[in-house]
Amino acid sequence: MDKSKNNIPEPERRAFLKGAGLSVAALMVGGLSLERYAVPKDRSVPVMDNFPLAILEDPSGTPITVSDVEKYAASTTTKTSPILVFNYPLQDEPTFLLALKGVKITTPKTSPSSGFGAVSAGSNAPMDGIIYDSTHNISIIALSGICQHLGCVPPFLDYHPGQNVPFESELIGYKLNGTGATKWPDYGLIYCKCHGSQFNPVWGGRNLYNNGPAASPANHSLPQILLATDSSNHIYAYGINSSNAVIRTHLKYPGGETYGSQVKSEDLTGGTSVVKSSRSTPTTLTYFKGTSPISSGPSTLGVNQVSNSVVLYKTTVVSNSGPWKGTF
Amino acid sequence: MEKTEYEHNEYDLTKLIKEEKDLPEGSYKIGFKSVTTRGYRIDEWTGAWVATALIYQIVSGIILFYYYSQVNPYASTLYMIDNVPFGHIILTSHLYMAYAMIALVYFHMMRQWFVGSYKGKWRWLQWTLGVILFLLTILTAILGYMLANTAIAMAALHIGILFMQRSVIGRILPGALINWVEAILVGNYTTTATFSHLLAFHVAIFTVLMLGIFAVHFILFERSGLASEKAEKGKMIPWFPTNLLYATFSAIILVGVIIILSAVFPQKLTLAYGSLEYGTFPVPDWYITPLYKLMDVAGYGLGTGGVPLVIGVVIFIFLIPFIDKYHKKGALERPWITAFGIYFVMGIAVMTIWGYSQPGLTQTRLLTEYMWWTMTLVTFLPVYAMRFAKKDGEEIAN
Ligand code: FES
Repeated sequence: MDKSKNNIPEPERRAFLKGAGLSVAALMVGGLSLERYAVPKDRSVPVMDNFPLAILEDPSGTPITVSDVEKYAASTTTKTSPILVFNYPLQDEPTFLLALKGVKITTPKTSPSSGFGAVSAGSNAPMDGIIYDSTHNISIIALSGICQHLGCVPPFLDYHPGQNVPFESELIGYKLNGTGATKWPDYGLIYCKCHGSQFNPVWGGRNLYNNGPAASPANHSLPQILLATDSSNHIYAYGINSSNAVIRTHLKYPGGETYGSQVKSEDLTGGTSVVKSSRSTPTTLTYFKGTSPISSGPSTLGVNQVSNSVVLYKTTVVSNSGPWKGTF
Repeated sequence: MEKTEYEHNEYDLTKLIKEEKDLPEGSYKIGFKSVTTRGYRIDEWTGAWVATALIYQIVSGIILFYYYSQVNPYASTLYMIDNVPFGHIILTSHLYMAYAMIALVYFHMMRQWFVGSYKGKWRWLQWTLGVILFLLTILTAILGYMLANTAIAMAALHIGILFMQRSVIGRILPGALINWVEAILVGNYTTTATFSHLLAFHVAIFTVLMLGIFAVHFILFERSGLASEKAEKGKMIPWFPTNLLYATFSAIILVGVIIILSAVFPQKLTLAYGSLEYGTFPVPDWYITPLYKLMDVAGYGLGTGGVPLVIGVVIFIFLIPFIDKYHKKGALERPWITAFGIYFVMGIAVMTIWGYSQPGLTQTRLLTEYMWWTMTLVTFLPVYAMRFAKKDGEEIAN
């Protein structure tokens, strides 16, 4: 080996090294300029400025009403509950639409560290963007269907009501009639079959569930999509609860794991916007902010506007069975 | 220093283009070597099968490529199955040959590992290129599996992307660079952009890389000859036609078996992305599960301990020709390497089965540790015991 090294005369070796160094440098500069070919211009650029105001429709294009969704309501005795999913805020971004009977969903300050039922609706527990029908005692809540761990979507991430313990969660120790940590909660869980993350929908926006036999690999709650109704009880989605988390696939790395402002500013990249609706924008909407319902024009919601007027988008609610059967 | 049975590693690559002299059949620069009858033993042909699989994948892949549309990935895949003549068999055989190729790559690699034919002459280079080919094979397979836009494929894609961001890869690479890497993989992440990018990697970039590296890998093989024999005048069987015929026959048999299997067990396309279905779900393909599981059962959870572990294992395999300092060739003469090889084979098998039956489940650290240490014991102990027994036997015989 030594011999072969000595075979090359010294100046030649130096020239070679110089040449090699220069080539590497040139390659690096060239590579940098290549970046614009590899990274599309519209990457990391939001497809719209603010969250869209979107009316929820069934697959035939008819707006759905609160009472339509209430037919699907799950209670503590429910065995199977169809999955209702709509895309929001972008296409390809599934969101669960859940109706739970017999509970007024409120969001505690932090996820409770013990217990499994609903949090008592204290006077100041916020209900931001959750629809509550007091006559039937039904709450309607929308939670992102993109797992906060590594982004699995329905049907891998799936709501299983109180009487339906999925096989995969039995593997980690849940039991139908378990006690303490092994108890499958009263209203069940949104359970991710990819790696076993658990989310408790009756905790509203703070739904990360770590009180079971095994901890969730996810470390944030499922983002809560805000819902409002109009005078004919049609349902609208208008944003994401900013005290909650960012949709997983929208995280910009690094430093992409904060709440609040980032929910508002960085969420709408990497996809295609939901479709515009040909209906006219409703004049007043009713929604929960804090503990009380508010009625106001849609422009106060901070949703996407074009030249000062709110644009109405639409999104389709699909299910795995029943009249809304379809794919998201 | 003990006398070594290996030829010395040759690091001066310029010698590759020099003419080889004193070969039994004359001298040449690049050509096909003749071998002795020993060269026709079946274990010398593991590489030929992998090469056959590669060629078959390219041919069947070209046919599939005519019908695939990255705008309509799932629908166009269904179209291939339902409307293209023999489409179902072609698509299934492309899948099964991919399975075969991966299995054969493992087989080929482990054979060289146990025989110790990664040292001497250019063989160190042949091995390291082989490891790159191994990685490319698995990556290409994973990309192909994503191309159909099934629910499980998209789960894999989403997990992969988030994994890159959240694991050490994303944490070490500066923000702009990880953005670049991601953009190269999925563009702006819309459906069409994603699938055009995946398609480009699957059918062009990785495949061409593989073919190119394979060519060098193969030329190096022809240059170094079989590791297990010395060329001898008068005993060599000429490459043409014997070797060629042998290669052709073994290729035909492999392709035939795969086509028959695909006709008998045609593959069903799993749930499309976006469909909602309760009940049972497809699990990831078997060659993905060990990788996935390795990241998982490292005991530190997905993303933190797993990625460095996988990288570490790959680097170790890559560097084996330089790590292995033993002087003799037999498997028992290199006990540590052999034991590690068995450990590797067992680990892959265990994790494949485990990952296949419980893809997402993280086990407790105690169980994980228990499993790994048991495996360590059952691999190292017998190898050293056998080596001891062999030495003992030799001493008695003398
Ligand atoms: S993606 Fe849901 S637990 Fe990992």
